[in-house]
Amino acid sequence: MNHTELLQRIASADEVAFSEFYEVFKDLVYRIAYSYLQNEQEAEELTQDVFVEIHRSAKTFNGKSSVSTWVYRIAVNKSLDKLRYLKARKRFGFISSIFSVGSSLPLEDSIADTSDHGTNADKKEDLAMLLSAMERLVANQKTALILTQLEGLKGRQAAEIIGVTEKAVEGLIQRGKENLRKTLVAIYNQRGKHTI
Amino acid sequence: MDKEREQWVARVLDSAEEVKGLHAPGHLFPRILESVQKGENEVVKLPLGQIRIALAAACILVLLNVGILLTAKRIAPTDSSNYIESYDLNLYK
Repeated sequence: MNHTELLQRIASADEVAFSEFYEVFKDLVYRIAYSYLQNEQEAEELTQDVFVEIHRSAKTFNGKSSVSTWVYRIAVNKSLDKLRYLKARKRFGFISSIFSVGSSLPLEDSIADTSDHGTNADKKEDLAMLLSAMERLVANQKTALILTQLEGLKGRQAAEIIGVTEKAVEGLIQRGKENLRKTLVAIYNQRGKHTI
Repeated sequence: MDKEREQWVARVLDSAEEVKGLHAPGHLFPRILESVQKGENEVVKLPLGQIRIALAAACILVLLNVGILLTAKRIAPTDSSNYIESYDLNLYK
């Protein structure tokens, strides 16, 4: 059964179809959420939100794009919304800290807490550094890099997801890479090689 | 120094491959189903507090406007002839 048929069945409240659809796309959605939010708990919550949205909007899928493009688009939009929300919450950090029950650890801290040692931990730390540097990019550049460099999508599909031309995506990738490199160099110089 | 820095930057950039190894935890689907079912049964509640504030604000605005209109009617209209008399209209003749 193809993905479009699965969506049609989801639209008619078929739980089995929804479960199958979830199995196909769960890792994709989680990867996108994690790439933006860099936090396991937030990524899980966002994955949940994305699939609830998929279930709600299944009947509106018009087949103009592929199902995976549609899922990517929902995941990217939800991630950007969540980032905006988190940034706004950060601005009112004092007030939210009074009302929040638990605090979420940033990725660097959660890595430090894991029992992983050696190469695996090093790789995770490098990834955390990469995502942290990507956080400083403009939203469109970050999305272009996440979709093409982390997810390995072609420029055309990335363009369709972001809603720009393929040429614009190429520009975003180029500028994003340049800025990312500058940020990483700055981090290296700031921290010094001993702490890195 | 530069070589070490370049190696570090390259290593960090290469770590992008690590993202492909990320997997969604297994316990999420029951939570998603629960949210979906909750959403289907959820009754949309109107924000009563906001509606009350909006109604109160509208009432205050109406009362203010009526008050201004009544006050304006009570004030006697000025006689414009008083002002005209003070000018000599034949000045430039």
